[in-house]
Formats: sequence, structure tokens, C-alpha cells
Amino acid sequence: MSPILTINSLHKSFGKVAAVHDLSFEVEPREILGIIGPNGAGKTTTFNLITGEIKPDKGEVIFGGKDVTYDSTYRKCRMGIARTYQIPKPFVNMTVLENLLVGAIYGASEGYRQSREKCEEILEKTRLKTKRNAIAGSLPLLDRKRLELAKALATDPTVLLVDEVAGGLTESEVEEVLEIIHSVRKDGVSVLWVEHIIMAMQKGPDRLLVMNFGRNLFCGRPEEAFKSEEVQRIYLGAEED
Amino acid sequence: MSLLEIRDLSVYYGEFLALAGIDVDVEKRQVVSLMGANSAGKSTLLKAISGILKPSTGTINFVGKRIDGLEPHDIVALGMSLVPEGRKIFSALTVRENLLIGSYTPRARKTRNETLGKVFQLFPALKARIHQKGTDLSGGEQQMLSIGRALMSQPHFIIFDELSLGLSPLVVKELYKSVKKMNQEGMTVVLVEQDVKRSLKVSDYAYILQEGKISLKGSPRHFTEQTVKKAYFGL
Repeated sequence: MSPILTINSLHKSFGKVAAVHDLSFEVEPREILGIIGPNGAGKTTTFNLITGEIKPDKGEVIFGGKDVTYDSTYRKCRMGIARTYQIPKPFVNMTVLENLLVGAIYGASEGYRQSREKCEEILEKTRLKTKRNAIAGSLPLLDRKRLELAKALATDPTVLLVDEVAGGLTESEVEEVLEIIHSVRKDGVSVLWVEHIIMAMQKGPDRLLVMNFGRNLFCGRPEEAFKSEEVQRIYLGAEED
Repeated sequence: MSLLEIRDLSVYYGEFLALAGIDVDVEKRQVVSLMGANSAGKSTLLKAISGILKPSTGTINFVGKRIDGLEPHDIVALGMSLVPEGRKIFSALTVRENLLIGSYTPRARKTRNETLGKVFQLFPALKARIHQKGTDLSGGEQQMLSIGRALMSQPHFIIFDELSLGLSPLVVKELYKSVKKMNQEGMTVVLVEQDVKRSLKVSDYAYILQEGKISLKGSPRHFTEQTVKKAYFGL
């Protein structure tokens, strides 16, 4: 099977700092690829480069066999690349359902009736059904995180980029997020998932990409990644007493 | 009187009772954890303590003064500083400018260069990016900047709302070490964390909130996994 997303020698500097440096990796269809790495390793920048929020200095983003490196963000969204943000960014004065409809109608360019049905399914999947008429700005953290995922799903993605959706959640809430991500994959979506919660990165991804100084340090099975001495040194830190 | 003394504090959002008459004491040089599931009332409590919202009833005393009618900047001047959840840094300003804003009180301004040095010692990553805009920092670096900015006011009482959010395990370990160190040097610390085990380990005292009330309090040494779970979820 050919990869759904190929990142080829991507490079981006901010001033003198190379945030992403000669980065290459691939994502298979229906794969969950976790991304870990120290703070400032270039994880979110990589997401921004894939979605087109910033443009790379060099390198390519290939999506479904097509070079999309310099396509605009909204066009990429309509092609099927969606993302969530570390700090949820809902339309605070709109209801939960209205937030989803924006994603469905604008992001996936669908009609109202069709969108409405799809959004109901997504509300169910992300466990927001009882909150559909709540004002987004009034939601507590877990619901804001659910909404962040739901909005992205409403755009009908083939590839979903998830940026620290489990941060700040309790352990049982993290388990719930894991279930949602797995059900998303079951529907045929590939997921790139940045997270610092080790339990989530052990249980969630098929493969783990470890980034350091903007580079691909390791890419392989999560258990191998966590065993690696290098990963322990740069990311996990020494065992505590 | 305790350094921070909260009595019968209630907060309503419209008809919704977010905090229902709670009492909290924080003694000088303690590390105290405030915990609870999401929407239990933790953030509301922090907003009331730091003066961002006015309580509906009850009193808050800090360093022997009543502060529940004061503005946030007056409370900062008394030596309290809050590291807010979600970083809230000024994205158009540089790292240095963000930090200097933290030292606007007359007391902190006198020694701001020295404090700046201490912050850079704690977070060398910030020093390397001193002239970059807040928006060009990674999420984790923004979190470090938010903590650094709080330290710039030279507080003796610091509140961390979700200290470890968005930080790598290695950085979190180092941060907790610095929290311990700050505490040993005289800082009183309030931690609001989802990482229950870690925050209980460093705390002298803990409060667990459930639906706006305190469901468990005491020294974490006397807590068991069962009592904590029950206090969190009421199970």
C-alpha cells in the first residue's frame, strides 16, 4: 500500500533556529503515528508545515500521491487534512453543533442537510450529544477537547493531525480520548498524534516518531522507542526514586 | 492566621453554583495541592484567589489582609503570583519583553536583572530565544515563559495551574525539582495538577474538590488510592 502522507526532507528555520531540519517520514492509510520529542523539537511546527499555516524553506509534503506543499490551508482542509490545536480554539459564542457545522459546510463543502446528519454522528462518537446546544465558550476542559476533535472530524479528513488533545485530562479521560482516536481510525482515517502523556503514546499509536532538534531521531514500534537509551536521555529523563 | 485563609467561599455563575462554601488554609512555606476532576471548581477557586473574579459570599485573607475585594495587580503586589492554565503569553512581544512585564511592581523592578538571570538559569531554552517573539516559541517553551513571567514579580506565594501541561516528561521532572528548590528557599506553593501521584508526592497538604465542595483534605501521607478515587468521582 502506498503511504497517504509523505514528508520529504522538510526544512524550516525561525531566524537562526532550525525548527524542522531535513525531516522525512511516511504515514500509511489507517495508521496511528504518534510523535514525541523534547519541547521545541519541532512537533507543532511540523503540523503547521503539513497544514500550510507556515511554508517550509525546503522539502515536500505529498498527500495522496500529490505534491501539496504550497497549497493553502483551506484547500488542504478540503482535500482531507484536518488538525486540532493544543489550546482548543472553538467559536466561543456559537453552540457545539454550530461549531461542527462550520467544519462540515465550509471545511468539507457540504450542504446543510447532509452536514447536519453527519454532525449528529460525530457528536455521538465524541460523546458531545447532550451538549449539542451548549455555548462552546462555557464548556469545561474535557468537552472543549472533545469539541476540538469533533470540529476537525466534521471536515471529513483522510488525515487527522492531533496536537496534545489529552493534556490536562485525568487518566480515565485520557482513556476515553484513546477510544475516540481508535474509532476514528476504524472509520478509515490516518492519525498523526503529538502527545506528552506516556500512557497514551504507549497504547495509542502503531508507530512512534521521535523528534529531536527538528530531526527524525527514531521511527518504529512504541515499545522499542521507550526502551531506547537515547529516548530516555533526551525525553523521559532518569527514573525517579 | 494562615498565610492564605479562605472561609465559606461561594461562587455562582448565573444560577450555577461553582463553589459551595469552602474553607481552605495554606500555611507559610507549604506545598499544597488542589485537585479534582475537570469542572470540579478548581479554576474558579484560583480565579477567586487571584482576584480575577469576585466571590458571591465568603472571605479570602492573604498575609493578614482581606483580598477578596482587591484587583489582581494589588494581590500581585502583596507577593502572590499565578501561572495560568493555557500559558496566556503576549505573542507579539519577545521573550525578554514578556518576562519584564512580570516585574512591573516597584519592589520587583529594583532587582529585575537579577531575577531575569535566575529565570534563565531555570530555563536555559528561554535564554537561547531571548529576542524571539512569543508566537515563535514551541508550546512547551511558552509554558516555561509563563512560569518565568510569574517568577519575575518575585512572589513568595506562587500558584501553578496545570504546571506540567504540554511539557515533556524530562522537563516536568526538572520543573518539579525546581518547585522543591523554590519551596526550600522559602516559597509557598499551590499546585493544581491532573498528575495526581506526582503532585501528592511533593505536597504537604492536599484538597480534593468535587462539584464545588471539598470532598477530601489532609496530608497526602494519610490518603489511599481508594480515598482519593472516592473523593474525585464520588464512587
